Amino acid sequence: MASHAGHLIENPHEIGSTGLPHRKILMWLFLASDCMFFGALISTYLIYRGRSVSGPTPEEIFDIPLTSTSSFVLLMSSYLMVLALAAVERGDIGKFRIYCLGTAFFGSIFLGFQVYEFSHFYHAGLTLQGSLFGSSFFVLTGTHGCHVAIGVLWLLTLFFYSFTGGVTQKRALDTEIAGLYWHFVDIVWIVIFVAVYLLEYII
Amino acid sequence: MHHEEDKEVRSLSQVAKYTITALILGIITAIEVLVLYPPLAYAGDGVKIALLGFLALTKFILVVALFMHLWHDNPLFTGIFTLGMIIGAGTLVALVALFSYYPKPENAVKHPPLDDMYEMRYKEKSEGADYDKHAMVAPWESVPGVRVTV
Repeated sequence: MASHAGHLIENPHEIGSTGLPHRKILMWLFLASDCMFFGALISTYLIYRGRSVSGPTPEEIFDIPLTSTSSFVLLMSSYLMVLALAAVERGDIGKFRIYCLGTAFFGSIFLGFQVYEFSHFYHAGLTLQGSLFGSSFFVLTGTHGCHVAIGVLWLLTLFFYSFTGGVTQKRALDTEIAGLYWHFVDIVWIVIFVAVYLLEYII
Repeated sequence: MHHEEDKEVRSLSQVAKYTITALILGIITAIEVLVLYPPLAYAGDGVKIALLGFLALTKFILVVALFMHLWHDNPLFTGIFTLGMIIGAGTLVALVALFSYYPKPENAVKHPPLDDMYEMRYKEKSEGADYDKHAMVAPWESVPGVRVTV
């Protein structure tokens, strides 16, 4: 039985010559590459900011209280995710199921807010091809939304997998990797919330 | 037996740590929104941007260090992630700086075909020519007073 960072790891082949699990290294590499991906998308939004020649403008359509609520929901989902990992690490699969389902539920609420926001913006005249603001905004927030949707599916898979006995204390790494992805989605939103929404009301 | 109890106590203290972090994150989000409203609404833009940047960075670091466990995990993970962050953030800063830079006309690099085009467009616009409402402006063409219809 191998171990890493205090966790027991069922399969010793998961630990490489670095002494670290391959899958965890791979996930961190993926997250690092995703940083560059979102860096490019946020740059594009900021470059095109204020250059649209047709409306609607961000100030006309953004709803800060609504977006703040959805940001808060996503932050709290991160909290539930870390509790889910703590539960599986101490072998409490019952609690893991509650927290994991809670995280997926909060993620779904965030997606619901985004669907509402997108449809509201569309009816206000903002489309993907209508203006620079529309294109850069929908591509950036839509890509983030896709990440959240994939995360929700991943969490639901883990939740149902736990009923087959697949989620155990010895296999906590599976949950940890899903958690890393989920927290990353959260930190990307922290940046988007400030750079796209709040900054619009300042400069 | 003692080992199991120790493990339980450690787990409970971990939960308490996560709960406090989540509370701090919630409070920071509330402060971020309050920056847009009185009394800070009348503060200078620089102050507000600095404050928002600081708050977002604090949230970012809290999630990465505590929720993603980078604080006490292997430094290799921190290195990998920091490298990605530096490249991502560097791209952002470089591109925004590049596209926000407008040289004075006398310092601008001369490019005869483009100069002729800009002059022509500028003349058209100054003479009152209306541009198409669906006109797109490429960033490199964002010279004040010049719009190019595509």
